Amino acid sequence: MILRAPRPLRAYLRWRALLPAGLLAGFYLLPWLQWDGHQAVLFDLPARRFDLFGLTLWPHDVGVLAGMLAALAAGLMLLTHLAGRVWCGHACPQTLWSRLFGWLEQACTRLLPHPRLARVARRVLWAGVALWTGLTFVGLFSPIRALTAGLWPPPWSAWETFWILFYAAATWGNVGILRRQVCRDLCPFARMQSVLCDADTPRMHYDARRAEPRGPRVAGLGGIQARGRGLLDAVIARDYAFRAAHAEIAGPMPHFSADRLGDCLDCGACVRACPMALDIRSGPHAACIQCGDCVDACDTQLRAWQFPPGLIGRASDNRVAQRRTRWLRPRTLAVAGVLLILLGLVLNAV
Amino acid sequence: MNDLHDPPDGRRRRLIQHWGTILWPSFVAAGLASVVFFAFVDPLRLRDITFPGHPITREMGYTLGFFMFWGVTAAASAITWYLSRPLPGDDDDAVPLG
Repeated sequence: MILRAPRPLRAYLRWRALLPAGLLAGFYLLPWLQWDGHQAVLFDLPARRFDLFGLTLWPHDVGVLAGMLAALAAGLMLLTHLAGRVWCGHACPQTLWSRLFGWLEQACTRLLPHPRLARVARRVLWAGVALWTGLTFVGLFSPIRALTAGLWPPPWSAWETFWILFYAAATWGNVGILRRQVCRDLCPFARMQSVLCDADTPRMHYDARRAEPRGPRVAGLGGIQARGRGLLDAVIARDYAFRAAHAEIAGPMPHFSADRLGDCLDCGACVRACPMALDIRSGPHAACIQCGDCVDACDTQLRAWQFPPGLIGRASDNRVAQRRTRWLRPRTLAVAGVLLILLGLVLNAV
Repeated sequence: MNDLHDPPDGRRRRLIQHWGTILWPSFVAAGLASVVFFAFVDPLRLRDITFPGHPITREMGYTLGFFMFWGVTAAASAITWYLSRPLPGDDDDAVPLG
């Protein structure tokens, strides 16, 4: 049976969609902000001064700037240690621009019936976004009002033109061509997850005890709760999930009668929604950026079938295994200590 | 979701990994080096003691400096990549054991 993906409800458009949009808007608006009649954030390289919301840093203040960046990095590590890869899934520029480019691509394919026309439109839109991104980035180093003073010919000096085109090309290359491969193969932060995260850090989990055995079925049977089937034993549930993921070594799945099926409809919505092309049901994967797209896709399907949502969700390994969960761990104290020291140094220096 | 970008495994993926491991860390290192270097050295004063006859502006100095750093760090990354390749014959089973 092929399930048609129902469109998510309007009210369901929650922070997962709003946060990336807000962050992108923040980046594009940042150079336009004014502070005391000047651009609020401006690394004025020709004048060798850096204005940051009324605070002016000179070249000899590079230590303060480095301290601020180090404190931000330590904050990011603490956030990742406590809450998982929320940065990767919701705030990393690679994710934000990948979403924007993917969304433009989908819009072109949906609105333009002719594939070649859709491809041309997609490239034009991508080029426009990439150029505006390069312009905005250079606008943090060179007053943006001067960069956008006229349309044609662009009022850019040779160096401004070079850097705008360089960052436009970098944007297109990273999110138009490489996309998820940056997270998988090139990102150093993704490699640090094993150091930062432990069994108390939340990550994406598939509730195999409720969901397995998966399978399509006729409508109207209701979820396991309505049928009174109960949760599977954890080992059996894991075994079913493993067999489904590795049919080539585990052999075909046995056939289950409809009343023994779990709540997973095996519709594939979670796999189609995943920006990293993973199947969350095969178990946690190191490449998962925890964006939650599979959660939304699955919950939408479950609601359409009038099953309770929540087959996929964020939880720590300890919580899933029903072991004792800890909020404060040695690593928490270590990272928080480093963050406090860095903040103290920066505040002392400013 | 995006058929265009689907499994870039095999040759394409290896190629991107190779170039990525050379260009990307060297880009970050060159960026850091440029920030630290130009925080202490003004490109105009550097020009005055090196090529006083050339009309080098600050922007050109920064750009040249960044790409010079990137070139050097990329060369180091490339040599590291080259040396860390498995030697031919390392895992070659031509010689039977025992």
